[in-house]
Parts: sequence; C-alpha cells; structure tokens
Amino acid sequence: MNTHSDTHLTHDQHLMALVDPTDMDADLQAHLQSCSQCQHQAQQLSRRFERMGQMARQLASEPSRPFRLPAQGGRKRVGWQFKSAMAMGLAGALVLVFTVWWPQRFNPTQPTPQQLAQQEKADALLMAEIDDLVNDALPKAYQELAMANDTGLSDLSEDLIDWIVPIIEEDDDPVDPRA
Amino acid sequence: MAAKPVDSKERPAKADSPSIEVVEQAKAGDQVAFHRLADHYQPEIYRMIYYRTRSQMDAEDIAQDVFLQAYKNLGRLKNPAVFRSWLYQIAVNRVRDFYRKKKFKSLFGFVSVDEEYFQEPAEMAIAPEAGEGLDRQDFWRQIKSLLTSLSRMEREVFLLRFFDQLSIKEMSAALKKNESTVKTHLYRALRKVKAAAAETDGLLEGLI
Repeated sequence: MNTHSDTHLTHDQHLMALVDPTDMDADLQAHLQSCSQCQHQAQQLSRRFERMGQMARQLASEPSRPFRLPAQGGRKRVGWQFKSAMAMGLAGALVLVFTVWWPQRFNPTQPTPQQLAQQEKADALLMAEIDDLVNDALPKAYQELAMANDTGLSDLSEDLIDWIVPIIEEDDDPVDPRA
Repeated sequence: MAAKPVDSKERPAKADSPSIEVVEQAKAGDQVAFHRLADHYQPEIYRMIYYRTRSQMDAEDIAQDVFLQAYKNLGRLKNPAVFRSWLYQIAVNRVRDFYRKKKFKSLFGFVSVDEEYFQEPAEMAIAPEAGEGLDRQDFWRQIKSLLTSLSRMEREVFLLRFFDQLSIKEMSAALKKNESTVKTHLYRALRKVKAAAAETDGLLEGLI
C-alpha cells in the first residue's frame, strides 16, 4: 500500500476515498488533504458519479398521482374487510356442501314400483340367456360338429380318422440308442 | 384532497424533511400527517423504483404498495428518525418481490424475463418521443452497459448511493447489512463500473 507522502493516490485508493475517506490509513488521509492534485482527482471522480445520478433523476419520470389512503381508512379496517370476505366465502361453501352434496351422498333416491318391475323383467331375461349358454355353449354350427351322433361321424372315413387321431400302439417304442 | 406531490429532483435539504413530530402523528393514526409524509417522499421512492423497473406503470403500482405497507406497519417503527431508511427498506423488498413474481410467472410462459434492471420499457418502445426520448434511451442504455457486470447487491448499493443519494448509514439500515459490508459492495461496484467505462472508450466521462 502506498503510504509515502510524495506518491500520489492510486486508482483504487481514490475509489476507497470515494466510498469513505475515513477508512483509509492516516497517512493517505493526510496526503489527500494536503495534495492539490489528488484532491482535484478525487473531486473529479466524485463529480462524475454524482452527475450520473443527477442525470438519472432528471430523466426519470414523475408519479402521475399522489398517494392517498383508501377511503375506508384505518389500518385495522383493511384487515377486517379481508377477513370478513374470507369468512363469508367459507360460509357459502359450507352451505353448498350441506344443501347439495351431502343429501345426494347419503340419501339416494328410492326407485318407483314401475322401475322395480322393469328391473325384475330384465333380470329374468338375463338369467334365461345365461341358462342357454350353460346348456349349449357352442354356436349352432359348431354344435353339429360336436354332436356325438353316428350320422355325423360315420361320414368320415377310417383313414381320415386315423390320420386325425392316430392310435398309439405299445410296440411303437423309441429306438434304443444302445442298439 | 388532491395534494400535489413535492416536485424535487434533488435530495431535499434536511430542513425541508418532515419533522419527527409528523412521523409520530402518523404513527398515532393521523392520516393527514401520513399524507404529508407521502407527499414528501413519494417522488424519490417512485424514482427509486423506476430506476429498477424502468416501467412507469410498475413504478406507480409498486410505489402505491410501498406507502400502503408503510401506513399499515408504521406502528412497528420504533425510531421515527430513521423513517426515510425504513421507507427505502420497504421499497427494496417490494422491488425484489416484484422480480420474484415476474420470474415465477416466466417459468410458466406468462412473462418473459430478459434481464432485471434497465430493460427497455414497453411504453417507450411503443411511442418514443423524438429528441428527448432518444437521449433518455441512450442514457439508460449506457447505464445498463456499465452495471451489467455488477452483482445484485453491488448494483443495489451503487444505485442507492449515487442515484438515490443515501448515505452509508442509511443504506445499511435499508438493506439490513452492516456498514462494512455495504462499503465493501460499493467499493467493488465502483471498481467494476470504472473498468466497464474504460473498456467503452471513456463512457463514464461521456456521461457528464
């Protein structure tokens, strides 16, 4: 750090002086107070930054309207209004829940006698269909093939039946590899 | 009552600042006293926000919110003498909240956030005034180039010191940092600004 009285302040030391000259060493402060050249440099530097701020203030726009407190006034009333609005909203939501949703959820409507009769009829038809399926699972065309009647099977030749379902004889053992 | 805000571009002399008694009256709930405070400080608070948002509309809205918050919380101000620093503290926080919300909205594509501070305001892009508008645009463009390399805190202390004309003590109160920290940030900001000005052929000198 430069502390010699004959040496002027460096660039960084000028910046330190601009921030707060009292933070500098006593020697540097003394030099700054006694050296006209350093004083001139410090003032020039300060003036440039101050000028920047001055231009910013001149070029900035102005507020279009003055600030005025709301007509209701009062710090407390502002909070009170918000809370009352919240409370009203919550109350309305609860009313909706207990008048619309709650009854539907726990008190379903009872069916009329006509609806009951129709339901029974539909149930009977469904049961009949199920019974048919149990008794005759295959469609009609397949039922003819599956029927165990001589008329159907006798049309097939012996050779064809043997080919489809060959008879496995006891002599047909696999070849003994040791042979 | 349509009171006219005090039109003072420069920092008002201490003798013109509202007295501590006015602050005490406002603390007690005196709305007339608070309006006096608002009329005095509104221009500088508005400008402070304008430097950081570069939008007249946003600056108006945020400034209104700052004073509303100040009125609501004035009872918590223990020392009326630091009212100005306390007001700036609210303003700094509000501007920060503004950019936080903007950033949050940008994540969902509602708003595009290019860069904080010194953005080209939409109103100027739509209808720039000839002559004066160009000078203004050029000035802010140069300021932007000088401050672009600064960190958030360095930029804040630089603006508070040279644009808003706060003292080190007032900045320390507004930012809730100790004076040593504020000075360190300011020193670094000055170094970077000086370096940026030197790289652009004496830009800083050209501003005066």
